[in-house]
Amino acid sequence: MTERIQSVVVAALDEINLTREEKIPTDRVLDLCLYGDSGVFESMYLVAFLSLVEENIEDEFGAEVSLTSEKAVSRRVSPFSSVRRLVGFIEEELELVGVRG
Amino acid sequence: MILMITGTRTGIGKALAEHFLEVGHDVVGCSRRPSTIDHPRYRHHEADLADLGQTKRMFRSVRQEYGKLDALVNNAGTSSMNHFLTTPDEVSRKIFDINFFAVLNCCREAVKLLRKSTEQTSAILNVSTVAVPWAIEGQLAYSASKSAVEQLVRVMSKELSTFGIRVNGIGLPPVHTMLTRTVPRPKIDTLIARQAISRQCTTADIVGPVEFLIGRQSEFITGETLFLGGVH
Repeated sequence: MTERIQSVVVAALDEINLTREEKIPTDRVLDLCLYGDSGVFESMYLVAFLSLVEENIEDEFGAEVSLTSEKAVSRRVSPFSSVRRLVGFIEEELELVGVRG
Repeated sequence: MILMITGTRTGIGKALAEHFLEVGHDVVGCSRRPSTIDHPRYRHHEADLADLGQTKRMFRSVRQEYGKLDALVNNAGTSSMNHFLTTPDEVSRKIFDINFFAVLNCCREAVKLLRKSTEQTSAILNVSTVAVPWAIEGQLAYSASKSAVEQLVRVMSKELSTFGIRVNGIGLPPVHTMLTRTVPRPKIDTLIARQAISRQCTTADIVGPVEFLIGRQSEFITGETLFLGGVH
């Protein structure tokens, strides 16, 4: 399931890159920091990216997850500090709603 | 264009939907009850917009069918005319659920689709009322909920400008609709007399300004609520 989620996240980054002049590097995508001092997104763009990931997750797994919930934003280690952590967070959320790999 | 208009079963929403279908656009409409519009480019969703789950399902269906939206017109609304001392708490909350929170939720869901618009700019238009600037007695909860919508227009216009989405409002004087059918005629006449153009607003008066505010001709206008009839 991890690989499928990762593909969904990368597909969302690729879609975002279509509309950006300065492309987000996706060569070492798992270590890519999404938000924060070295993050690739400012807050509004992060929200837009997460919305896109939510839609793609819904299409891929037929299940709804919220990536902008209080739970997501209040974690001690932010799910937005890297793509790896975001993928891990999505996997946990999918398991909670009964989606298994 | 692909437009979504809420509250298309009757009144202003229905008139707007019929106009935009007539000029060649695709229209997605909704109401709690079945459609009263039969057109090949019209899709109707039966949904209670006070229910976030139903709202999300409706937008998911729009995404699956069209993949984008070019404009959203938040027309659906409710009112209750009563002195605030005799307005039950649940009535005030219901008015805010439909007039404000449902609008907020529709905007949130629609933004995902409006960002995929291929138009120069995409647009959200929210319906407000003269009850806001005139602070009409007996309409506290209604006018307060619409006042919140006007503030939503101002703030959201700034938050969405980076995505090329404009947010405006249209402020309506009394129109003969289901919403105003219980307001006594003398009261309506008194309100009309306050307008600079002292005749009752019709749905035909609303179509043009709505078309302007969601269309290309207003691509440099956002965060504004345009009042009809001369109410200021």
